[in-house]
Amino acid sequence: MILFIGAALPLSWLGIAWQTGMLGVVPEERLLHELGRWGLYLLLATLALGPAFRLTGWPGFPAVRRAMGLWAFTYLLLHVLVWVVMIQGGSWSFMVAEVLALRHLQTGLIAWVMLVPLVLTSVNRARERLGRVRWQWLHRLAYVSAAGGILHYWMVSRVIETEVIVLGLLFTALVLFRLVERWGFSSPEK
Amino acid sequence: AGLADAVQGPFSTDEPLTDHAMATGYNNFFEFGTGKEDPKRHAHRLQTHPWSVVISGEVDKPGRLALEDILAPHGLEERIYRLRCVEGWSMVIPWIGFPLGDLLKRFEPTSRARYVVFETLHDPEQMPGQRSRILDWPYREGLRIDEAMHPLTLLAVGMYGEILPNQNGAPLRLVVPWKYGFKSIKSIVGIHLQEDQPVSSWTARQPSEYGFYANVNPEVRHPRWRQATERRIGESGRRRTELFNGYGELVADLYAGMDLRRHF
Repeated sequence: MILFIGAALPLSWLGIAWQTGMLGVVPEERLLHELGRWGLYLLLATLALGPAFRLTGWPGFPAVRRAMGLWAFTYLLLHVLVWVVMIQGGSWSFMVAEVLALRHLQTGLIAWVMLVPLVLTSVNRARERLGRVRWQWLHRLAYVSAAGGILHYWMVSRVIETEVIVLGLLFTALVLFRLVERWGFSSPEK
Repeated sequence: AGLADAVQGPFSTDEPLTDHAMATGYNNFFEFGTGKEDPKRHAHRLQTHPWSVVISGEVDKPGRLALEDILAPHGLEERIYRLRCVEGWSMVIPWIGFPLGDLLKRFEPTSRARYVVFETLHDPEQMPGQRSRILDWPYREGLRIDEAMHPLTLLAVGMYGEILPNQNGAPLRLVVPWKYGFKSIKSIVGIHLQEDQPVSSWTARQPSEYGFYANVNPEVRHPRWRQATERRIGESGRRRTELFNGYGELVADLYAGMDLRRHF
């Protein structure tokens, strides 16, 4: 419930700000950027749930992982839709040409598409059919997707943005935590 | 002459004007922040009275002139120009100003004056964006002398029938409508004529992305934005971008024989 409110809050704020004209004179651009930003925050937050559980042992963290991941995807889906409908005006020829020409769009698109199989296999039945090990391997794609998302953010920045550096460091810390946990603590030498 | 006396100048487009609120609320002016709404939010800190401009370098009559003295001999014209930003968006703005060439001639450029360099005010107190070193302040831009003398090239003091809002480059800015918007430097305090080609601020920051000429050209690719199309602010969807922003008939001669892909 707290997660639902927390994750829905930025979206509600965006909706209200958009409708009341608080997003400036070109609101679709702010919408695009804010949806992308919050999607990336939520994706990183989802990845942080594992380490948070390891450190605290609180079962609340893993319990909300699926919901939080789905929220992240929802924001990023809206991010893509705003780009398609409001920025490109729904013109396929413009969109295809833009994606073919621009690396940051390719990066963003690949990072986003990677999340689709994760959403499709998020239901319990898919998890059972894949088996736990294979399912876990597949869902490591979330790390690759988050890295792609941060790279995409870095590529669209016209100057060096502090936020990109912070997100990059956070992501690196999460990956290091996982690696240390996997090979560091469990290695026989220890 | 006052803004009210401005006459209709040549080269105006009859395309619909960009909404005033959009032209004054969606700006790139990194001296006030990198967000599109930052300039409107912070530009009130800029003091435009008194204002003076230093004219220096290869001219027979250099000096520091008060803004009033800069403007005094020139009649003001209204000119409706297209504005194309390198970021892939565009506007249509009714500027009020006078040709830059008329001003330069007053200071009698020497035969060695081959380029004109412009400089924006550098004062982090008034321009909080300058506290972070995202660009090598002060902002600098340059034109070749024939580009500067071209009758299309304008020095603007107003838009939409009123004095330039601070976020749009008050009190004195350049308008070069066939080049990407970043060439049209704002809040000018220095004009320097010289023999060597200068390095513009954005070129210094990222030479692979921003060239000296920065002519609007749908054929020259940019790594960050696709230049073949643009979004006219206030319209939905995109439209095709024209070579020299549609001013080719007037300016293409300036670049005869030049490889525009190399000199982007």
